[in-house]
Amino acid sequence: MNERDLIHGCIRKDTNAQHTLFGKYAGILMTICRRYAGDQHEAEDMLQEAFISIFSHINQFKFAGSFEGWLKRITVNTAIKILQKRKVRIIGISNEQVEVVSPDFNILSDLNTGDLLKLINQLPDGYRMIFNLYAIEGYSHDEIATMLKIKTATSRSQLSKARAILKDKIILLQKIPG
Amino acid sequence: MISDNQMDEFFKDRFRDYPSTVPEDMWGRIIEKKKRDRMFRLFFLRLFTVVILSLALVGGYFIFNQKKSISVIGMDSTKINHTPVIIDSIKSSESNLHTRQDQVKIPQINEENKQTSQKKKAQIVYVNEFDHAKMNYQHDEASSNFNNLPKIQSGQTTPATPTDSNVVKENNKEDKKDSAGKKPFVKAAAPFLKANTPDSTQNKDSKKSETKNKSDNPKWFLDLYASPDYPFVSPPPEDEQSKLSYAIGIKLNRSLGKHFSIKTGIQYSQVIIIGDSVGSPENPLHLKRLDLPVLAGYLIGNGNLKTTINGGFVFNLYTWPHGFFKTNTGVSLYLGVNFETKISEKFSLFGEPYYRYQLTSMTVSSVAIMKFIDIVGINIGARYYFKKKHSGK
Repeated sequence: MNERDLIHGCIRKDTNAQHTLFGKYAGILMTICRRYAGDQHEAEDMLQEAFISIFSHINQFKFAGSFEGWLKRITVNTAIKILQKRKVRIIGISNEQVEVVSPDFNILSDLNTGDLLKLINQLPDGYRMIFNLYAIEGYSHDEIATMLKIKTATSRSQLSKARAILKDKIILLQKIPG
Repeated sequence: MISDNQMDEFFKDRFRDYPSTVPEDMWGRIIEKKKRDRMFRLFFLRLFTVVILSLALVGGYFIFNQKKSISVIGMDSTKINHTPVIIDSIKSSESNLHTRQDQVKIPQINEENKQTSQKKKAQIVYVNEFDHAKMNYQHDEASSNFNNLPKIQSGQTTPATPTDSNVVKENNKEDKKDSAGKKPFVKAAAPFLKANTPDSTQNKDSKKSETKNKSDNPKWFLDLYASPDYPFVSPPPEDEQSKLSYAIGIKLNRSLGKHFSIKTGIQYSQVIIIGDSVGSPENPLHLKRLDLPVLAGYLIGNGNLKTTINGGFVFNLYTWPHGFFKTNTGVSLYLGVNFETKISEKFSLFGEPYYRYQLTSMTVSSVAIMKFIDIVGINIGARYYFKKKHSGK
């Protein structure tokens, strides 16, 4: 079953097509959910809601652009909605430059994806959300500001703080062997 | 040393298409959640339907109740407007009688006239008493509406008064005076008056009109209708979609008294469903049913626009195609509100929004799941009255 048939099957609410779609994309979408969620349980809730939303709105997919990109966007939006429901607050912090020692690139490349995920999960909710949206999803500060109804400056400061925390944690990992 | 951009790119690359382990029961949880959501939506849809029907019922009741009370007030005003005319004619008759009695001295010549005049007087006094008593009663009930009533024409014998309520007050005073002096006479004349007063004639007329009104409601009438239906399958299936369906039918009605009626007939309906287990979009399932509705109705309102609340059971006689569904799918509960408008002596048009709730499972015992198909629809049709309506003239 090619992607087009799969999508048409899901539009017809064909359970087999929906199950195939789930099997194909659930893993990738679960990673997105894990990046945004505070814990595994919340990530699972996000994935569940994301798939329900995908199956409900799949008839709105216009076959223009990447289907995977569309699925990822829905998942990100669902994750943000769930975090906003949890009343995650993104508070503006002082814009002063934090002096952080940047880790060496070799140290970073030694870390596997699981470690990186753990690092991201240790970030406070607001920082984590903005780091994900800016650094990984590739949204601009203006887009993030519109999406989260915050000021652009807040988005910038939160990102800066998130990066600083991550760098600190990476250096800490370097110091603690094993 | 790593720059911010390098770090962002590093994270981006690492997470691109990186699959995480998904819990094994995740698919089952998604299916369960979808089912729950559907049930929730269905529940609210049902609730919405019930609320709409209830509002229609209550609205219909109030509208017709209002109409009824307005028509009752209209009838009272006729009676009230007549009263001063009678009173005035009584006064003039009384003065005539006195004059005649004073002028004519020979009793034997005037014996006949005297008897006639006595009869007349008795009749007038009785009418006076009766009408005044009636007005006193009506005054309490309808005095607030007097100002809204049409004023009596100046050409009539009624005294020109600023308001009708004043007339009533004056009449009450006169009534007290009159009744004080004439009570014994009235008592004596009562048997005679019972047979001859204009009011007794009126009573007869009203009795006649009541009889006519009763006969105005024909006992038998026939409904012919068709309905666009929307079926709701419960429990909500994963892979099925309901489509706009239809029903046609004929019902014979028998009215029982002023408000109640019973009705039965035959109804053919098609429920269209698309789904993996029942039919593809190209070849959907057309579930055909032949049903016997047995309903009772309660009529609210009268005149050109009537509302009837219908409720009862719809018994399935036969269902096909067989296999998944039973050949007899059992019983449904029916609730509908019929809005009828008269277009001629014998014909009416009606619309009846209804809800049909399936009470028994429709699937055969070999199928593991039970299915219930509820229907929301609107019967649109024509009604034929077998007996000719009396115009009441």
